[in-house]
Amino acid sequence: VIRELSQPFLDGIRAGIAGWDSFWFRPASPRLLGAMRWLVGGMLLYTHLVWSLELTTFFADDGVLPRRYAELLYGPNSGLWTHFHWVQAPAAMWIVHAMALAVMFCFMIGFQTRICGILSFLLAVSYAHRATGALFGLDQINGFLTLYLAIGPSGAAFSLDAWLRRKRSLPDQAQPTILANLARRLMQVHLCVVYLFAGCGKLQGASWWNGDAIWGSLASMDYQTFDLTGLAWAMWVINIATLVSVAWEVSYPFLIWNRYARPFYLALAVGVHLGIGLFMGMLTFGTIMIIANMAFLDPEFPVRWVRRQR
Amino acid sequence: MNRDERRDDKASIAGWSPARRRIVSALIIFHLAAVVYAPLTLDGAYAALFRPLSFLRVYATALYLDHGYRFFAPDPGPTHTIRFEHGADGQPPQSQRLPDAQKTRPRLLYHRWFMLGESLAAEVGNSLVAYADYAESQRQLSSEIAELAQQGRVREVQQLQSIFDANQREFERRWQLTLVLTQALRQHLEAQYPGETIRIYSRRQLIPRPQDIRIGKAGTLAEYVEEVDLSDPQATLNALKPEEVPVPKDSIQ
Repeated sequence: VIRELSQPFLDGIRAGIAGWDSFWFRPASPRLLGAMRWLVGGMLLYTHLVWSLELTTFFADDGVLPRRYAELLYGPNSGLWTHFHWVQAPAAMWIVHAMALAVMFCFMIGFQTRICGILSFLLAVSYAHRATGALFGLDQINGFLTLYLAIGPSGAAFSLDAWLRRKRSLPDQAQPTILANLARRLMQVHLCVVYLFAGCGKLQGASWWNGDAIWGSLASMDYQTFDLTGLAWAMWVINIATLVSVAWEVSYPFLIWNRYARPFYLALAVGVHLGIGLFMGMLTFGTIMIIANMAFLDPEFPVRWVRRQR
Repeated sequence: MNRDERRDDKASIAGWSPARRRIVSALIIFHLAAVVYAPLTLDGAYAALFRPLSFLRVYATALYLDHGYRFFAPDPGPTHTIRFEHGADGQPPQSQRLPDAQKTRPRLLYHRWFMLGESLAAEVGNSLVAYADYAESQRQLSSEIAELAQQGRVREVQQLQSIFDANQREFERRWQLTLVLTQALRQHLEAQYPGETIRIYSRRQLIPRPQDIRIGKAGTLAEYVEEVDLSDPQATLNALKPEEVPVPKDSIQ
C-alpha cells in the first residue's frame, strides 16, 4: 500500500530529474555563444577602453575612488579583490591596462578563447571591484555574460581559433555540446533573475502604479538626450509606456519560456532597451541588455541569419 | 514530451555520466542560489532567514554577482551630480559640473562621473537619514539600558549594550563613507587646480512635474535644483546633526 501511495510522488521526482537533465544537459550548438562572444567581447573591450580616458582618476589610490571606500562599503572578509591593490604606480597601471585590453580583444575575436575568456572575466571583476562607486547596470551584465561565455565553448565558432583549426585541417569544434547548452541556460536563468527583481522592485514604487514612472525617466535633465517633456501634453503615452514596461518586466521570467510568447517578449526587450539607450543616453546599457536577450534565440540562429543574408 | 521524445532526450544527454551530471547540478544550484541570494537579501532583507547562507554573499561578491538589479526602482527619482567652484583668492570663482553634459564624452564616461555623483549623494543622504533613525533608536536603547541597569538585570543590559555598540559602529561606517568620498574628490580637484580655493556641492536635480511643463515652466529652472555644500563635509554633516546621541556606557554599572 505504501509503495502504491508513494508511486505518483516517486514518478514526479523522476520526471523532475529528467526535466532538469533535459534542461541543463542536452547538447546545443555553440554557434550562438560564438556570435554573442563578438558582441559581449566588443562591449567589454569598449567599456574598458573608455576607462583609459580617466584611468588614474578612477583607479589610483589618490584618485576620486579611494580604496577605503569599497572596503568600508563591503566590510571585512567580503570577497572583494582587485589587482589594483598591487598595481599602483601609473606606469605599471598603464602596462597592465594595455595587457587587459589586449586580452579582451583576443577574447572578442576568439583567439585562445578559453584562456582569454577566463582572464577577461577576472579582469572585468577586478576593474569593477576597484571602481565601486562609478559602476552601473552595464558592468553587472558585462560581468555575468563574460562568465558564462568563458564557461561555454564560445570559441568553437566564429572565432580565430576555429579559423586556425580549419586551416590546419583539424576537426570542426562547432558541434553541439552539453557545455554550450549549460552556458546558454545559465545566461537565460540569470537574465530572468535580473528581470524578476527589476520588475518586483518597480512594484514597490508609487509611480509605476499611477502610470507616471516613465515621465520620471524621460523628464530627468541629467539623463535625457532628447527633450521629450512635450509628452506632458500626452500623458496617455507615458501611461502606456509605464504599463507595458512594468508588465513586460514582471512577466518576463515566467512567459519568456513559452515558445509562442518568446518572439513577442524579445521584440519588447529590443524596444524597451533601445528606448532606454536612445532617450536616456544609456546606449551601452541598452545594448548589453539586448545582447543578453540573445540567449533566448535558437542556438543555430546565427547560421540561419547568415544564410538568410546570402 | 512523449515516450519517443523522452528516449531521444535521454540518448542526447547520455554524453555525461549520471555522477558527473549530479556534481554539475550541485554546482549549478549553488551558483544560482548565490545569484538569487544577493538581490533577495538587499539592504539586510530576510536577514533572520538567510543569515546561515551568508557564505553565498562572499562567493557572489568575489565573482561580482552581488547586485540588487533594482533598475529605475522603486521610482525614477531625482538625479545627483557634482558641481564645484574653483578660483584664486580675489578672483570670481568658476563653476563646473561633473559630469558636464556638453563636455564629458563619450557618454559612457559621462555615466561614470554621474554614478560617482549618485554614490556621493547616496552616502551623504544615508548618513543623514541614518543619523535620524540612529539618534532615535539610540535614545530609546539608552533609556532602556538605564532602566534595566537600575533593576540590576545585567544580562539584558549586556544584550542591549551590544546592539547599541553595533548601531554605533554601523553609523560611524556610513559617516566615514561620506567623508572618504568627499575628501578624495577634494584632493583630486586641488591637484587639478593647485593653489585655488575649491568648493564642492552635491547637486540634486528634481524632476519637473508634467503640470509644471504644461504651464510653461522649463525643466532647467533653478527651482528644480537643490545643493548640499560639501566643501567641508564634516562641518556640513555636523551642522545637519539634529542633536548629540546619548552614550549610555556611564549609566550601566
